[in-house]
Amino acid sequence: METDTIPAPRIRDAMEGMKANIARVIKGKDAAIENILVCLLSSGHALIEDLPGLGKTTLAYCLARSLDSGFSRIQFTSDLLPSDVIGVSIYDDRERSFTFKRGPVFSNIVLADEINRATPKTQSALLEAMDRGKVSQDGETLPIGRPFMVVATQNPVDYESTFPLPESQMDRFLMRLHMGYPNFKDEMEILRGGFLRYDEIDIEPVVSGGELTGFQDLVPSVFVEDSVLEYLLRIVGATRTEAEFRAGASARASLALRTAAQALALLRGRSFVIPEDVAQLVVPTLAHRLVLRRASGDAIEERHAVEGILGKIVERVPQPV
Amino acid sequence: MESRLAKLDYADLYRMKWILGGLLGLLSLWNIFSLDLGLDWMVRGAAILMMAAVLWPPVAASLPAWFWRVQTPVIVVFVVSDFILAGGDFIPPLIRMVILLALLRTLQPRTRREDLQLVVLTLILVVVSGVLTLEISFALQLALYTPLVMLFLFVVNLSESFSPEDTVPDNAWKRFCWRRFLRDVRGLFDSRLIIFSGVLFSGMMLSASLLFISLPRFELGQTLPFLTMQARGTYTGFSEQITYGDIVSIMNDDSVAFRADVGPVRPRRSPYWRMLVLDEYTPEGFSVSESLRERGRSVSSNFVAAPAVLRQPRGGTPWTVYFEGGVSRFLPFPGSFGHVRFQSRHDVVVGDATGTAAMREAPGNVLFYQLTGLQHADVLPLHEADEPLIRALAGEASGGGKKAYPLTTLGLPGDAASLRVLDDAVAAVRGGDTEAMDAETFGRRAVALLQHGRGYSLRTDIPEGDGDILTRWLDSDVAGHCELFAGAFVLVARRAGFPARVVVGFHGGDWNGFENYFMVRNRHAHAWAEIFDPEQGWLHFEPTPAGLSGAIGQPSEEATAGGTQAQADRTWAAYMDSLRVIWYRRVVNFDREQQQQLVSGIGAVFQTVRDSTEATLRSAFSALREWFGGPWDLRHILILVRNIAIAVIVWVLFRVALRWVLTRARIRSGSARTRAKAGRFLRRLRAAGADRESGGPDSARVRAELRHIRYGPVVSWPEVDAVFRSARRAVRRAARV
Repeated sequence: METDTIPAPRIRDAMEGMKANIARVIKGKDAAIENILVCLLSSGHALIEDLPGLGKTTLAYCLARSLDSGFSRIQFTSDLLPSDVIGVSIYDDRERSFTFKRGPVFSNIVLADEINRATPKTQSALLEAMDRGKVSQDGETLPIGRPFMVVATQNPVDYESTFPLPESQMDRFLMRLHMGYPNFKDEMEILRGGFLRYDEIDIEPVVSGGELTGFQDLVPSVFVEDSVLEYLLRIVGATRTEAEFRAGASARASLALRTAAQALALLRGRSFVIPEDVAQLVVPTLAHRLVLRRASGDAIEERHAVEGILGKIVERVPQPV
Repeated sequence: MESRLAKLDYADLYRMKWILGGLLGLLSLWNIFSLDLGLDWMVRGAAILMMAAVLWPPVAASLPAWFWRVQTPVIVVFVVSDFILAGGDFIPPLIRMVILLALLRTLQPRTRREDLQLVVLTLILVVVSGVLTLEISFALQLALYTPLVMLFLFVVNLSESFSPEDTVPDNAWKRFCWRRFLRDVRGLFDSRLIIFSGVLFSGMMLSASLLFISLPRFELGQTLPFLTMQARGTYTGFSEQITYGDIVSIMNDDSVAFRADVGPVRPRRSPYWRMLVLDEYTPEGFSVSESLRERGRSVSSNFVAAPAVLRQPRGGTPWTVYFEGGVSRFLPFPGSFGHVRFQSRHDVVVGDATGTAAMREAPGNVLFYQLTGLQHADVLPLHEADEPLIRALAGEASGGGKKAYPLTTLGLPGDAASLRVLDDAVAAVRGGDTEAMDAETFGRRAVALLQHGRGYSLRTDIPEGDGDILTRWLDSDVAGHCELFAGAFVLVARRAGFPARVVVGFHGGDWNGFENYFMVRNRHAHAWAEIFDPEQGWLHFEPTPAGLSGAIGQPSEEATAGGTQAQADRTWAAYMDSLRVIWYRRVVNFDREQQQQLVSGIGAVFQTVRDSTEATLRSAFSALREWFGGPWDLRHILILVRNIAIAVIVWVLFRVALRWVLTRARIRSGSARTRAKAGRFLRRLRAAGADRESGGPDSARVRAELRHIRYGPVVSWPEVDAVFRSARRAVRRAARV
């Protein structure tokens, strides 16, 4: 598709509408909202890692509700089976055949709550569905449909009886996001508003699923000039030579960063990527894919260390002007 | 399709630097070869090694470490001994030392310091060899050296910015391949680089030319008298003692002896270039007598005037002679002259009685002199030195003792056999005519006698026997060459009582059809004769056959002996030679007079252009005024509207076409430059503080558009020039704030 035919301002307006819609509920978390919209636009999946009660589920719910599409929530537990996620074949006595009963993954926005609580087998079943956008059951492949986005959450503190996601599976998430504590003013507003369960939140969809799919198809056409690509690669390359990391970011990470930058450019009403887009997305896109050489016992501390090093790399690598 | 600018790494620059350095070294040796420097093997060896350094850099760059350890003491010993052995002549050992140092610098891995040393050393070689030779090759050498050295310094500067530590890269020559290197270098040639380099070089050449034209003239040779050295040249062997065969041996050499600018029109007859007058007879040949030599008038000036008797009124076309270095110390003159003006002060011995002049020694490099008041008649007028001859011819006793000039012009062989042959010849010339015969008639008859049945040949087989070689030849009927004809003629004339002398020099020359001048080559060397006539002076005679008939004042276009016909030469070689004369005329010999002429010429051209422009504008303005002053009816107004409409349409079409062409060119040639320009504006805006939101909506718009050009796809770019104009304004505004 020709890049000059991208209706970038229209996409920006639509996404701004979603953003405003979500921000009505999630106060003071503009960066997290923007990042999750980038994930949505890039057809990627997001992992929200933060302490309980900071609005992870609410964010995912608001995202789904702002979009005129399906939403399902899976609470991951250690006894959750793959069939609980993807569905199960049951014998239909009348038809005298097995029919597939679709699981909660067959939706548009899937909230996988506390994903690290499930066994690796169940995690793998979800991750395979995330990767391919399809589910295989009894030798049959069933497409999940579009748009499809998994918003997984995990608690970085409570590690009792959890199964941490391996690096290879972390790589499947486009971004890892953090909510963080709200600031004083925002929390005051939350308090004034009164506590609502997430499914009681009154929020109207502003973008249809079909519209969003159209926007997603335009993301790969967003122009990335060679010097910006070089800049991106230099950053990724720097993670590979950084002594603090056990291994650098993969080629999939480079592709993810590029796609995310393209989506952010669209979100801002541009049909081309600028280096600032790349710089802004380095931490959320790369941090969860990198592991420190000297592992720290504390996950939050480790996360801060990785993000600190990435921040320094972004400062060090000169932007092309 | 995005075009990418090629990128270099430090090793690439180092390789370029190495090869350019080698080329500089080679180029600086070019003119050294035309200097008689001695130790030729050293210069040749240096050139071969430099060539090896350029062609096989990996080999040259991997010289063993001991070589570099021993080179310093070896060079010190060589240079010191060279200076000592050279005695007082310090220029050749100095040049040899510079060559040696330049060679070492081209062979060694160089950092910035050594690169700059190489530039200085090669520059010394170029300038010194150029000043010493004054050859046109110096101009060519400079024209090549200048861009090369500019490129070299450019690469040195670039490599410094690449590697501030200024080290030699280890991997410079690993897996070096010429084909790949040349491909990489070709990739660098981008049209903008070539245009900028061209403009820079032309600007430099233009400013150098302006400096050259406008600087006060000064004579380098005069200012730096020690800067003289013998250029490698041809030695013709013209000397005060000519033995038979000398001229013939000179004629075997085809190199140019001198060039002569005689004005745009070729003279109707080939000039005789007199260099030396031989008055004294000796059995080996004719020579300049001691008494004639003593008569020479020493002048140390850049201006020589002939004595009053010979001095001609100034006027006519002056002839300029470009006399090659090392040819002879005797200067060629086409007949008698009024004044000679040299480019600088010279020590000259003027032979007033013979119409000749000589330097103290053969000039080391090309010598220029201009002749005015030339008299091309075949008579050298009487001079006071000829008085004794007039008296002798009148029968007055000349006194005893050794005969002095001009009585030496009556000397004859002493032996009876020779005298008998001469007597026979005189009788044959007179042909039984017992009346007193004047010199002119006798000369003409003698020429006829000599040429009767006798051919021209450079190889003669003179019969053995008694008597003088000339009389033996005269007695035979074998063919001869100019020396024999002239010598025999002189002896016959003298025997008949006419004082006579041999004149040697050149006859004719090749007429260069490109630049209209004579190229006189050594093969144009010639000998002829002069007989004294007490009434007129010394009469010119050409005894050699197939030349001038011998008659005075009869122009002839026929070929003369030795192929000295002045045919217009339009060969490739003549063209190359004409370049040399242009160099002499316009550059080396560019004096104050030419300077003034040129300046006034340029002034006249400007004046003409100004006058014609003014006249055109005036007439156009008056026509316009007349038109506007005319009656304003409907037709008048319609014409005005139509013209304005046409102008507007043309302007709009021009803008549209220009924009279309520029956009096409931008898409075709790649957008890297435009992107880079937009990036520069973004940087400047940032530096000026205009990237803050306080810059206002206008500034934000400009930044967004610049970002679009910098990072966006070409097809969706906003109008580039308009954006850049706004960016320029925004930068200025931000700078003011």
